[in-house]
Amino acid sequence: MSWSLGETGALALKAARGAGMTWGLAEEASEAAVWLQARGLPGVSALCRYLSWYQLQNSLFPKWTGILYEDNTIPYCPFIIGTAISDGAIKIPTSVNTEGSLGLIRQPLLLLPFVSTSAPEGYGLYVGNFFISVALGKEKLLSHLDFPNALLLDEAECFIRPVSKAPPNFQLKGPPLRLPDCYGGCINVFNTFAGKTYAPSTEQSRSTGAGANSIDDD
Amino acid sequence: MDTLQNYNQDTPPPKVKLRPSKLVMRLNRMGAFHQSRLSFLRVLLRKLKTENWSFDQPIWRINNKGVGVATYCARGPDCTYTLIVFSHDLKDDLRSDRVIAKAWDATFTLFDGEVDEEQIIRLRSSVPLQEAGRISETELVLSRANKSLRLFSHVRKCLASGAQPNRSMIDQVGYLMRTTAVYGAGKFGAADLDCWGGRSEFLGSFQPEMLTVWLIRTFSVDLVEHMARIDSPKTCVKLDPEIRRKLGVGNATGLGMAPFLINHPTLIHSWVHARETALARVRSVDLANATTLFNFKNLVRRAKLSAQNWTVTDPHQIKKVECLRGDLDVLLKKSLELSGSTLYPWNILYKWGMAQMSIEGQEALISLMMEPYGALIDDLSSTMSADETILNRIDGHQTTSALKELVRKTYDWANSIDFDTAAARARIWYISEEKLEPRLGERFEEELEHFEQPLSPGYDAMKLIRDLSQSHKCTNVAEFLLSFPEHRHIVRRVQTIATKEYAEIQDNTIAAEMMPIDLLRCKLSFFGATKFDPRSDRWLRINLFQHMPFPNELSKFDPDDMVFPQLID
Repeated sequence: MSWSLGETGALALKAARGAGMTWGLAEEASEAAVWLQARGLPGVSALCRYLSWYQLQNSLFPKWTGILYEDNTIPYCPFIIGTAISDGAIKIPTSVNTEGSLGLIRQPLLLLPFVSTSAPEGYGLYVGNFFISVALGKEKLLSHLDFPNALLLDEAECFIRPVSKAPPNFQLKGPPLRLPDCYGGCINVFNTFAGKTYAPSTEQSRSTGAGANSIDDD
Repeated sequence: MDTLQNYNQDTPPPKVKLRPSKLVMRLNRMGAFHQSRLSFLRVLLRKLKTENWSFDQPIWRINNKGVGVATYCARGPDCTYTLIVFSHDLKDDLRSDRVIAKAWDATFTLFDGEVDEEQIIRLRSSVPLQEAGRISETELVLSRANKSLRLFSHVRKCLASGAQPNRSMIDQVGYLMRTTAVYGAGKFGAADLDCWGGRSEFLGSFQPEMLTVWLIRTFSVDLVEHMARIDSPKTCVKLDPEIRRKLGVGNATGLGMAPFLINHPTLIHSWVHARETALARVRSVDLANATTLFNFKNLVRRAKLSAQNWTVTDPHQIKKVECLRGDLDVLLKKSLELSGSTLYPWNILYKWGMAQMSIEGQEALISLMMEPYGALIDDLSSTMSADETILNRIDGHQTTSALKELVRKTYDWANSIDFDTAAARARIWYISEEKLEPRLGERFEEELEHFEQPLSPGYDAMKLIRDLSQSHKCTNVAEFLLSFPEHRHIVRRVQTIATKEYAEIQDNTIAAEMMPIDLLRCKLSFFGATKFDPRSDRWLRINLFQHMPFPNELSKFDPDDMVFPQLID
């Protein structure tokens, strides 16, 4: 059993909305998860973990005001920061030998799609102390994975820096066009969240749907 | 030869402008669209014929109760596709077109390639379950259909006794089976659009779905002939080919399809833009020769015959069809005034039609005018698609004043709507838990606010303008969205459709008087549906492929000449 990425994205959108995001942010969350998954990175797992946290924790935190604090103790949402980067509200360093600190970010892998489309060539997203560096090129994702498990870090300090060393010839596996069976658990979590966006059916609504009040022997 | 230079893909821009969206993208007009040369089933059949596809039926294992499996192969120059049919023994009291049904007379999948027994065994465990099962990347489409019991029984009985069925009954119903869902593009595990969208045979929109339904049509006839043969092998006959062609595939379409037009603005723009471009090209034709004009007049007569056979029960639709019949009568008289020396004859006819005909008649005229000009417009079918897999990035650098201006211009039609009134916000779109299908509720009568789907762009745009007007501190969109993140969805929409004239329906989709059926008909007209038969304001029955050739006839007939019944001279 497997899921198409298109179907996964549609479900992820509903799940993000069901977890409490606005529709606009839910679109970003779904797109980010599918973007990562299409490049062989565990975007769906990251989103799954993030939504579980977001639903419980998000309402406890103040709305982000637009100022990045490098020493924040409450982690920032990767989609709020990611969209601020892609919108241009947060400036990415573009000069040589400068870096940008993004502070403590929750589920930082989810930040990657936004940084990837905004950061100049030669700059990487550095996540935490485990030195996972992802050097980003235009139209391509190069990866230097010292510690692959860090891909699913719950939270870490994130920086955008010039790549300190040339990445080895690390080839990402051929990007999957489908979500394999092992993601069944994540799909179940998405379905649970998505279920919060569905209204219970009523006899009134059933009576007006296609086929209602029809004679089926015509 | 009609005198418009360059009858090929280098056709120069038409001299006549495309119709403005404020005319075209109104629900009452979209709900009057008719099928045309650019409709997807027409595009498919033209392609299959031109490329000389062959068709065969490798497996027929249907027993004397009509239960079993069958396969139909469509073989093209590069690829083969197989419709796998699982035919079931459905109890009459379980037969339902409702989306909540759990069993059907037949279930189908379109397989990418030729199929073997192992695949059939695998698919037997999932396809009959439909939404409750999962198919895989080797399947492109999932579908199901129910018999039109009355007509199926009648045809079966007649054929068994050696007679042909009653023609007026055939005309009245028009199909032996009707689909109640046709799923593609990655749904329920099917292959994503990425996997097959680049194949030349599938250029355009909904081509695998159309192929599926066309092959289902063949199965429906094969099944009734099979059952007649079982009933009375010594006296049974096959359906007369001419009668057989009167049978299409029915479909019951409800609200499941309605949000599509709102959720896919770029795609809808491509469809409507192609249609309007086709119209503009035809209107720009300087002169039409005598043969073209003669054929057009016959086409109008044939369209009138089709309209006479268009049987509906909905009072609103009865009136529209009556108007159409009258319109076609006067159109025929008007077209007699045209000659080979009439300059810009189609533009004359178009302008006359816009002044004299009902909206239903006007849109029928537009479709009819396109018919003689395949060489001029058929190339536009390849433009009727859009890559919507990647989310458009928001331009955060746009100034708030520029965004406000853009919203005002794009949603000019919504400015005059008072969204503070109950009538303007009477309806609410939501997804039902029971079958995960869109539904339309009454906002002030049901507790549905929490579940609202983002299907009211007009209202969202007006809320956006209100907040833009108050956000004096924000100079650009990036800053605005930091303060008003709830507008992210509509801001993206506004920016995405800025250069797409036909992307937005210019009517309030949550108004009390909104007719969802207009959304359904618009999309179905692009599919190539005919005989729109509304059963309420939110679901209808239609017919697909009626009068078209069957696979074994495709090489002998021109499908583009078979949309309307032939005249009986």
